[in-house]
Amino acid sequence: MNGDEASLKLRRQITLTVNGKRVKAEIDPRMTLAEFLREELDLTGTKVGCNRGECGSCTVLLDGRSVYSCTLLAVDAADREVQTVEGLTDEQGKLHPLQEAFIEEDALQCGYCTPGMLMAMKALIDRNPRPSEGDIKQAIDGNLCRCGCYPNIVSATLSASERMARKDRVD
Amino acid sequence: MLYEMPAIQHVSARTIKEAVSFLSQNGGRTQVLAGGTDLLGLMKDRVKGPGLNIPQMLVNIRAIPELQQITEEADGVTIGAAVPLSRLETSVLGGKFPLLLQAAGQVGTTQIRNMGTIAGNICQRPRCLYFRHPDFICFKKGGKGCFASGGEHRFYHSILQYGKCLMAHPSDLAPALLALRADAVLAGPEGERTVPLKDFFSDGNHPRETILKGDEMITRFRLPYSQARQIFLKNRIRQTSDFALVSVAAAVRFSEKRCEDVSIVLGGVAPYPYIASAAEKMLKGKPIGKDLIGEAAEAALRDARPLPDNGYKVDLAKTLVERALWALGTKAIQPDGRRTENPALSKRT
Amino acid sequence: MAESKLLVQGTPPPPLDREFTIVGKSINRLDAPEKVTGTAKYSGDIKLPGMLYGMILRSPYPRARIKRIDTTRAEALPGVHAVLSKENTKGWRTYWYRVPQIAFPECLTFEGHEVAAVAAVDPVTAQEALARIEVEYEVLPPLLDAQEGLQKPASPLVADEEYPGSETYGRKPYIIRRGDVARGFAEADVIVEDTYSTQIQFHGTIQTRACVADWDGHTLTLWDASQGIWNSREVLAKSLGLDPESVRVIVKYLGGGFGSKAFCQRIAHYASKLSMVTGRPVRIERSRREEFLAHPHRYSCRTSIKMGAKKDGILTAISQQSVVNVGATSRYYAIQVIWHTANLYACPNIELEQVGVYTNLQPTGPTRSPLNMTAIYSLETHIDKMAARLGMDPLQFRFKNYAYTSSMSADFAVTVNRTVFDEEKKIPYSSKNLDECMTRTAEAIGWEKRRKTPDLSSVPVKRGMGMASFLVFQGVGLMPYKAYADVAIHKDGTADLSIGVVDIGAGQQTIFAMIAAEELGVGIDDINVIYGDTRGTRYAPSSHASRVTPEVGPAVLQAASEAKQKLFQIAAAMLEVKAEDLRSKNGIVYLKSDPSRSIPFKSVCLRIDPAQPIEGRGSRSPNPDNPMFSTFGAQAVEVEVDEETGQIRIIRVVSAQDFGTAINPKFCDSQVYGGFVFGMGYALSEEGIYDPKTGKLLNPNFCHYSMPSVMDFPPLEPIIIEGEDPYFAYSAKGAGENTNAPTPAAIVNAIYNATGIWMNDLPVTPDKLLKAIRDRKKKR
Repeated sequence: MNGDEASLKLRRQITLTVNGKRVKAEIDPRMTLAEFLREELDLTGTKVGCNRGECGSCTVLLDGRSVYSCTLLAVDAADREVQTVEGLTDEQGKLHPLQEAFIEEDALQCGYCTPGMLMAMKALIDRNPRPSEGDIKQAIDGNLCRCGCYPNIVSATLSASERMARKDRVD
Repeated sequence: MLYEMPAIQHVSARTIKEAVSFLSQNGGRTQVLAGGTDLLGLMKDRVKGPGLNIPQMLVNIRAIPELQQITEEADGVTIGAAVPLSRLETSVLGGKFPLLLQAAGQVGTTQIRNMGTIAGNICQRPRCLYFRHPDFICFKKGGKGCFASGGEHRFYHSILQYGKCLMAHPSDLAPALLALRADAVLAGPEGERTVPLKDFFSDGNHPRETILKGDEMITRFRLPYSQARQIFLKNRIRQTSDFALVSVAAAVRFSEKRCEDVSIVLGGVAPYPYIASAAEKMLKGKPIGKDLIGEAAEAALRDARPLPDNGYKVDLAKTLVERALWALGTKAIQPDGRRTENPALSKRT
Repeated sequence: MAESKLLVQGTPPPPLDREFTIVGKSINRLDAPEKVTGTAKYSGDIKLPGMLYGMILRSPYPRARIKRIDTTRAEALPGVHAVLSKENTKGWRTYWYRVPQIAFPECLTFEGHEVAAVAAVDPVTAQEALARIEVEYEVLPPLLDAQEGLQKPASPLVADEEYPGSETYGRKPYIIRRGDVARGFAEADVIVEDTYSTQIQFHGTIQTRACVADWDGHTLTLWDASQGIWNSREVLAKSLGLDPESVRVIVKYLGGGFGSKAFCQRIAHYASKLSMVTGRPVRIERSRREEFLAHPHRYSCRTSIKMGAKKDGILTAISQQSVVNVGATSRYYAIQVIWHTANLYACPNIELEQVGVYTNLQPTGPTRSPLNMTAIYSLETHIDKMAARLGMDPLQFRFKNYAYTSSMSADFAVTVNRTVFDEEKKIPYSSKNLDECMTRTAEAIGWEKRRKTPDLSSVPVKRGMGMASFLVFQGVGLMPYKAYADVAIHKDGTADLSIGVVDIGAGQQTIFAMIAAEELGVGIDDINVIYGDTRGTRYAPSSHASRVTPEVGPAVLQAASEAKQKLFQIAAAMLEVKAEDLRSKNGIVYLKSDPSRSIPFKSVCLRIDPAQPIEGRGSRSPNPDNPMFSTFGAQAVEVEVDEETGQIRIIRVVSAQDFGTAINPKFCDSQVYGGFVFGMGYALSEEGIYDPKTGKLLNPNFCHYSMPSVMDFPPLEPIIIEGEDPYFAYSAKGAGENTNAPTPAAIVNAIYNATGIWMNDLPVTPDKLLKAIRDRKKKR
């Protein structure tokens, strides 16, 4: 990012882990984590719908917890672990059970809230592998969907968690 | 990319001393940053005026160990200022301080609770739409007058006590902490001072909502252990995200049916979390019962003088005070809202 | 064999002649994988080498004139490549819904109106450039209230002040009339009059509008967030003085449309012009605040209705006056709030009037169910009031006055050359299953358990049930219903389907792939959909107004059928049978009379010359005047009202919708859920909040513009009502958009059933309900 001299002086070096990979960058402190992911790392899966922490489309995991990446400065993610929707698919391109369930249950329409929804659910399932419907709703109480996918998102997550639980028993 | 944040300098403080030192420099244009859920939005919206600067330097205090600790001591607990609300919810405190758990659980959204901190929540700025709009330079921003006065004031303005500002305090944690008789420990260049939370907030005639000086920060809260039954009720437009139209934090220690120790604090109704002292006095020493609860609810709002468009808050607040006291005292509110007496009031030691 | 009614040019395809194998199945969205992996690139995700960032300076006043504007300091800032303002764009007009607007006017007519646009190397420089533009405004008194506007003459226009469309529609009453209302009211045993007020609602699409424009010297390529590529191409070409052939519009993913994105809008024009001036690609992305300020949203409206009926429940007269606050400009429909009153019920005497007043609020435009959510709220609540007064079950009252025919043709919605519509027609519907929608809805909600009268006891928390129905004509009456589709079958057995549509999230590409796959008799994986790009496709309408399935569907069917018939020629030779006796299904081409004589589809395809795929072309024909094409639905809601806190909780919802054929049932369900979000928000929590003194928008954010969350969303049972409609591909009508139309009325009717209180002013926020309850207590 260009800038004038004064802002060049303010730039900070940071290192953080994004989707399991170490990333180093020198950035303007005003840059939010969402902007960093999208502009510096080309991970445009994370969306910025309001830039105020009010819609949830920028949701990523920070040390395993769901946060609004638009309301976190990138410099404050230094030395921490970030997971984005791009990290849900494994190295071989296999979809996470949540992603598969979202497709099956039609838990998306325009798709813009989808990455945020997936990450909020991932944060939930990682901590609570057998969530109730109430737990699931609460996990996305900070994610807006205008297309009306709430019921299908909830059923997709229930279905994914059940599948993952069965798989764990089998493995 | 919108890049709405203004240019800033950013530092991380490793100790309280370091943080205070940063705050003391830079002529009042430095602010602490922990969760940032209110601060960053204010900065992006360019909320400023002759009496309100946009910070040029942000000091991240998350890494300061004392600010993250929750310590149980002999007579109470100490909670670090930068403890995120979600950690407060899941900590051991939940069992000992249900009021905190309930209040923390109703703040904002999951993400906000993961990011936002206990101190940040009580220090948040007003939700008045004019305060938040860059074009209206009101009293709180160093301008004159209050635009809500002849304008929009249905949801987030006071029905009790007015000054140059008509705001209502939006915090959920503040009524809860106040009802639990918390103290705030502040750190400044001269060292630390302890302020009872009831002395921490200012009224509608001050440009800031708290007595925190520009070179001070909250480091922790101290709460005495409570034998009281506790409840937090919050009414808002949606079932998530939204700020309280009215909230009630109530803590009553019973001795048999008698109210030995009463705290009732209301949010969303005054520029500061409002201690309903008249109601507290009315209840103290008396056995809880239907009539007394009704009278206490009336007393709590006795001094209400609502604005033209927020009179409904008076009824709403009375209802919530009543329901809180029923829940604590008799535990019998039917699904259709009817209150029924429950003589089998379980004892608490 | 009966003549096919399918709305295509030329020879309609022969009937499918077999049961469906794909249509009617809830297959997965074709674009779901990209969306769930985050690889879908929306317009704001697109970055081109050398791309500049565009930003817009907006007027802070609802009405002001630019006394002086000086952009020299901005232009001098290093990294700024261009600045546009009225100083260097005289005579330039942008077009939205073909409504021309001065690109940068001297007189600004709404808060957010564009003053200047810059293109710079990065957003920081662009912001700094905006800050350096010096503007002196002469602030002018705004008109904010439509009623007030009608009571005094319009202020004289200042400088180039314009309210595009107001010359045609401003302050002009449009009237629908039949019979004799005076006589009708005289005959009535019961008359009810009331007034309703509805608010400004915003689309709230999660994606804010963003576009990237790239002019390379001969072609302008625009990646936009629009619901239509062909209409956008047309207006951009017109605005920029380009041959449409040299404009290419691409929209592969759209983060929500819901109406006003049907055409590209201002930022696309500015970005394109900036790209042409700088020779670099330019991205303009709106912030959420700008989205609230500048994206045309739902108008606010005040409606008075008077209805008369005989004591047996037959309606004798309806009169209505609606005043619409149009804002500074609009995609305005002159009879949008009165059309339904004329057509939903069979009332012989009506006098309905709608007046639009142009004001200094932001532009208004189509917002999910633009013609009917507002109208249906007042109409269907009033119907319940009549029923209550008559002591009749509201459902029975509706059936008593059921309209079997339409009284007006659809094009009246957009006709401007007359202001009085008084020809009473009785146009049959191509299909109307509203009665079944109402019956099934009532059954599913448990209507027989509904309280006959409201609960007026002192119990604080009460439950009630309410319902509403609606109709809407297809495609907003827009002529000429042109749409094309092309199918090309390749040697490898796959087929390309080229359609110039945008998939706005309603699943358009999947639905048409399903139709093509069904018609061809292959699997969905064998269809490759080419869409969302004016290159490689032919004209199709914008994906709005629920028009794409009924308009493009027939063309797709025809194209697939034509290609199939050509393939059958080859297969016929291979099987030594007659081509017209062949059918195809599940990847097999077979003889209808003896299916054992068959050959795999892919084997036939091997005979195709790789350089000459087999092509089929489809072309939609215009809607005839007769019959009337419409969709219908009914919704029933059970609510719980807490009279002490003003809190309204929706316990459950049942929604029956007439889709014709549900090509993909789970998509239909999704549309019903989506509609409910809009309807519930409109009913209970969403509103534009304006400062009464200055007219400024106070809640341009999601914090205080309260859209329903998952915690608010109730259990909802969608019921898909299917029926024959031979005019459309496999009987599939368009029905996605209007699923929210009955919601506010159903909720308000349920609130009445619970409490005995009518809420005539939306949204029903706790303060209003508590005030109504308090007022009622005072009266007692």
